[in-house]
Amino acid sequence: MPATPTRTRLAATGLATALALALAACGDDDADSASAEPEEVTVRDAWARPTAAGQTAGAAYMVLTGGTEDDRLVGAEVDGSVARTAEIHETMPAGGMGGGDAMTMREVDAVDVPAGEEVALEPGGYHVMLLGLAGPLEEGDTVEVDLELEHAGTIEVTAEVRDR
Amino acid sequence: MKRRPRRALLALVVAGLLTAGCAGDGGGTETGGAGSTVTGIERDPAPDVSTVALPDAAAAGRPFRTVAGDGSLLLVYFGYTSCPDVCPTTLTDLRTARRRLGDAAGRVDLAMVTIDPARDTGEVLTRYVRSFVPGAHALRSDDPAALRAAADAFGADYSVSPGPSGRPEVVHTGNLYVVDDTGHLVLQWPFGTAAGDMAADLALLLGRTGS
Repeated sequence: MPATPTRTRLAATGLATALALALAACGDDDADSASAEPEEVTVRDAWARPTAAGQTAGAAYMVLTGGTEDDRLVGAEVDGSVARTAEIHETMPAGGMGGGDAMTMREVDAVDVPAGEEVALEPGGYHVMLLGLAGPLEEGDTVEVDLELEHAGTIEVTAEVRDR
Repeated sequence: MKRRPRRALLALVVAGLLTAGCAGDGGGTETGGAGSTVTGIERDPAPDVSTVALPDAAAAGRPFRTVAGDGSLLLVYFGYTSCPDVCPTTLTDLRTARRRLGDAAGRVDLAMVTIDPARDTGEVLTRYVRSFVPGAHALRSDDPAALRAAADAFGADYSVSPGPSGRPEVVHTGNLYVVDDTGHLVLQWPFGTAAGDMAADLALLLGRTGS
């Protein structure tokens, strides 16, 4: 396990936020320091499409919400039991014209996650590409994806396998 | 790892548009014909794709012509099985659209043409396409000229080239094409067309085709 600045579980984030709010309401000294902590990037609605027979690459989608400060999504990792590797990709028009007729995909170095703004990873746009799937993704399964944020560090995300 | 714009392909697309513009008055209109309420893009005049024939790996490699059966519609898609985002999105939406048609789904067939025959074996392609539509056709040719001619007939474009990471970099048209039982390409849906819109268009076209 590489050392990471923070390792945040989504559920834990929610709990911590609720706790911080509760403490803030009490006017406790600790609460002041807690509320001074910058909010980090959060992730919701993570999902991955079930794979078709023979499909060796998959994609995971989600919505990121920026924290107090601008951040950047710089990478993703999955366990070898899910896929050989994960990368951040973007689907885009190949020629930038023709109503999106011809499309291609490229790996991106980073996706900006501006403070307080939502950034969607969705079909036809940014996605976490899962390369070399170890097995099929089936409806009802979950896939654990570690997102690497430039400032927030690693965020563990659980993606539901479902059709959109 | 930024890549340069694909100028060659852009030129191709531009050339294609220019050609389409010259093909006939109102060619490629998006407004559709009289009384039409389809959300897809109607091709006018509808290209005749009945002469396109590629080996169907799902039928022991026998040539399959891109013509729908009587009173049916044939959907044609140019894609590849290791496509993580675009192809499964469109084909899943098509599967959903077919389910909404109920019994009429039996009159909506699918043929997927692999633009990546080097990686897509016939067996893989057959299993893949049939996981979206039972009995679908898996069109695969090792003859680059035949593949290119088929794509040209539909107005589809593609390229598979070595990427900087060593993995192939794939470009392909994201449209799903609708062919009628006379072999005419009557409608195309761009990537991102909702399943509900596909279902409505199919119901409309099946009504025109006659039940």
